[in-house]
Amino acid sequence: MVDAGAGCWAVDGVVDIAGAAAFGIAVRAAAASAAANGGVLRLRFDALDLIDAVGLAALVDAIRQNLGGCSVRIEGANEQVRRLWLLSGYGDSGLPVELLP
Amino acid sequence: MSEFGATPANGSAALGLRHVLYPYSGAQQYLDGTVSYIDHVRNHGGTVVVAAPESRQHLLRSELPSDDSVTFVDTDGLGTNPARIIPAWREWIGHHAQNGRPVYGISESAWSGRTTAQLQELRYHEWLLNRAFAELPAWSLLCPYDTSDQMADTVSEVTRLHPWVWNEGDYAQGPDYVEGPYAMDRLPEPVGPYEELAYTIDDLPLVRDRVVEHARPSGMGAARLRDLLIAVTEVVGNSIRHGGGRGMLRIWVQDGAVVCETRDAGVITDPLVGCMRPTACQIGGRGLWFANQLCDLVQIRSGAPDGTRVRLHMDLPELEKPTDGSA
Repeated sequence: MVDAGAGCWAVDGVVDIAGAAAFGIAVRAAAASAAANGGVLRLRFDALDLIDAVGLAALVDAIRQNLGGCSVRIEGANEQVRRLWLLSGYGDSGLPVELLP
Repeated sequence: MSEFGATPANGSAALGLRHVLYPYSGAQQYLDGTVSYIDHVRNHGGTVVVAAPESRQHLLRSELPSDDSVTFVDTDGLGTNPARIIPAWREWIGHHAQNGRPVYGISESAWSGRTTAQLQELRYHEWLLNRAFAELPAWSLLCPYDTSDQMADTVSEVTRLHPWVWNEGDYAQGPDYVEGPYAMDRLPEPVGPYEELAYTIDDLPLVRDRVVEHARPSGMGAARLRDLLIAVTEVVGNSIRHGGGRGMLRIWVQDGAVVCETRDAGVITDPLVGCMRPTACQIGGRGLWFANQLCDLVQIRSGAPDGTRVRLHMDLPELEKPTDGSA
């Protein structure tokens, strides 16, 4: 996950069981920073090849722990990611997370 | 009997599914049985949810008055994976129970034109329906079953899955029902060549590379390949977390499908694993759910001392599918 500027973080490659913990730590830091600025945490998934159930859970855990009133906007989420999000049950979670193509 | 969504007159909390087989032959018998069932539901103030192929829905619509007691649901999303039947019915029944009327179902699965592996799993999930709803409010599900193009042994296997039969407009005990435990079919060895790869957490990229190397030349499209890669990543991840940290992957192509099988030392004890839609607050339990929603067939065999085998099937496009395969 790299800083893409303007409060946006780009996620690339694969987030699976091998990388989920590190991904969660990175999202927590980014969410804390966004919360401190009272804004929106923006994540870009254009270059994300794959995220599995453990990766999505790491994302959700990090968001739940560090939101501090801000919201999350995931941009460039492909159809599979949006589908897995809904299949995971997170679509009804009440989390202020928006997934955009 | 109380029905799903209704409070029993005696105040007791009746539970479980009345799972009813209706064997029939031909369109007229189909209509006779299903219409008598729907009349029975109407007489009890209930509502019917019908999940059936379009041809059967068309037949029924032509015989039924237009009112709100019968709802037809879209079964296209179920695909060929029988593991999607239970969560679909939980969703349909839960939705329709909200109006407070007793809910009944009609469910006709396609038993013809399936591979041996698909039939094995269809039978298992029909049986599993009895377990899946055992602790939920009572409801009734009629399963019309066209016997006209089935062998006697096949019909007998299906009757063993249903505790009740629909007979001349009323429920009767299913004489052949076998309560369990269910005897899972043995998974046959691959027919033809396969690739085998031992894996640990460090090998996930290699595992995915191997899947791509088999699936792409076989003609699998990009979207379905991405789905297969997710499913394989999930079951390999389960080996790493729950199966001793390692496992063995086999990949092969058979009966017009790419098949990926993982083996590990873990044991799955929940027969409904992968069949229940997760909640947002749930920790874990999404891996096999994903696999079932993404793959055309998932076969799970688990128990001590052999451990767990999970076999994922992803159909390939534009290929003739055998009806008597042995995948």
